[in-house]
Amino acid sequence: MNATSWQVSEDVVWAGEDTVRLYHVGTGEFRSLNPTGSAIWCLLAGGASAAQIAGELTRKLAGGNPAALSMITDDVGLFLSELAAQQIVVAAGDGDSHG
Amino acid sequence: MHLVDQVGKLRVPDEIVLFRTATRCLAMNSHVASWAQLTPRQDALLCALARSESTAALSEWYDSRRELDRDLAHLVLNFLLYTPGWKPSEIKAKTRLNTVYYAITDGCNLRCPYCYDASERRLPGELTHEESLRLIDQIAEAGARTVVFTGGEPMMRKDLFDVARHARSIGLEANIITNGTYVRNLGIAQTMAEIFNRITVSVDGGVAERHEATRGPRTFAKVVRALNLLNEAGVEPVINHVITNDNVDYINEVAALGERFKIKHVRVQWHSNLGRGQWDTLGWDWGDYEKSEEFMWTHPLAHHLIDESVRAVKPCAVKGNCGMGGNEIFVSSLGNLYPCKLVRGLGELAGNVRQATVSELFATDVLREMRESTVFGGSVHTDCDRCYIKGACGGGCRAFHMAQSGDIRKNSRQLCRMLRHSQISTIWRSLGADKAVVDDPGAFVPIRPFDGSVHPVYDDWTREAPQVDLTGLAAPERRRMLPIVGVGV
Repeated sequence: MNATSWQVSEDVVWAGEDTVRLYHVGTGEFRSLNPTGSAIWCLLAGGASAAQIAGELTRKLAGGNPAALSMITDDVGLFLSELAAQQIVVAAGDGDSHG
Repeated sequence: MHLVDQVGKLRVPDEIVLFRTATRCLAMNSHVASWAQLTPRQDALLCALARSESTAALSEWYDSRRELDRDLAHLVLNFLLYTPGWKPSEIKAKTRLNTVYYAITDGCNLRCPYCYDASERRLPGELTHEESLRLIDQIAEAGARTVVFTGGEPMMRKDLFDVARHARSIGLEANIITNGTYVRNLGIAQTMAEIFNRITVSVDGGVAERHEATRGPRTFAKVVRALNLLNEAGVEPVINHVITNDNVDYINEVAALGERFKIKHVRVQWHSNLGRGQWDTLGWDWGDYEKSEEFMWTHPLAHHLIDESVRAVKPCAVKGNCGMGGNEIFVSSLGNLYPCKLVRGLGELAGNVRQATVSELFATDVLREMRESTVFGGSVHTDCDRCYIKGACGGGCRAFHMAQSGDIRKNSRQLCRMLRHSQISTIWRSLGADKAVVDDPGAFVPIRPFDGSVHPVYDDWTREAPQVDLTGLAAPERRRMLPIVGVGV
């Protein structure tokens, strides 16, 4: 996972906790996230870094198992990269670049 | 397609209400138990859409289509506005059995005046040890996950631990609700810690004077001993507290137990006219409720308390009903199976576990009717559909309604008034509102966006006929309060 720090795009309006729902003002498209994606999203929206998100999910889902941390870190990075490709999240400090 | 391009086709659901204070606006869709805070402009936008005002007028409020699109999205994503053709899916009650309450004995060493079970002596015909073990097997076979041992006082049953151990050995979770008086030494506490997943201890007051007013002389020292021993054994119990007009002024003393002992929380239940509670001198009315609300919003120890009547604090956690007869059922000490520990009339008796299995009884019409009825329609929830908090409330405890209305199918308007207020209060709290917000006269007044009127259900409690006052009448004997059925002993 690269060290890019992500934040929610200002083009995105969202709601929900267990199932996060998104609307992209730029594309007019809706998305909904599954429970794991929603958990990642809520942590990201709360200001957590990718590493902090992976750490928190490892604590919640795998009892802090170091072996799981590596896998979860990869998955979180992949998920955020996919969202970045759709301009749903953007590099931190770049939040209004798509406005 | 952007929402702004569909604005003329977006639909405001009929169920929407708004709660407006001087500084905040909360919008709620009762059908899907969704809510969100709105800015003044979003509030105006929602009302304009509800009144089908021209889209040209809406555009004038915004500097850009993008801003309007964002506000429309906020409304749509929180189910306050429906896109063309969208409607919520049919909401069905959860019908999978999860928890079985088993009153392993009706005997009790205390005589609490409000006891819903009206427990006294052990009843003849209790399920034997072997029958209890067979019941536990049947509970597991029926797919339940948890058995809760209650009573009476379950610790008076000498084979309690053996029956509970059997439950654990076949994969069930075993919980217990006790008055604590039989937790006499560390050995007993350690055995309980080993067997039970959750231990709930009933406490009526945080000091001896209050606790013993209902539980009897010398009971406070015993419950304190129990809590200390359970803590020493590594258990963090839940405290059950029945709040009444007689102890509500001292709720701070109960909350302080959370500082004195290691507990999960204090579970607060409102007094109801069930069991012996029909004939005691205690009660619970709007004035008492207001006192507890004040405490919950202002006292630094209030975080130790959980109000049992209100639990939904997450949007979209739709609650179709209370779960009786579906998510949970009750088996009496005699083996009678009912939809709930509080609903035990002859008309609600599914049968006896000596004559049929738990699975067979679970399939009976009497339980099916209970579990399939929801606030969106059904024979038990006959007038919930029109309420503005129905999806979050789930209709409240049907037994509590019955205690006041005389009919499990008929809501008590006084209870509904408290349920609605406490539900909205909880939602405000979940949104980070402060006391000034809930003190605002508009915080609990539901306004319909279509015409600015107050929702008609809001003050329907004023039109309820007063209930029959049973105070002063003699309580019938215990046996007269039990359904008489053949149990084949």
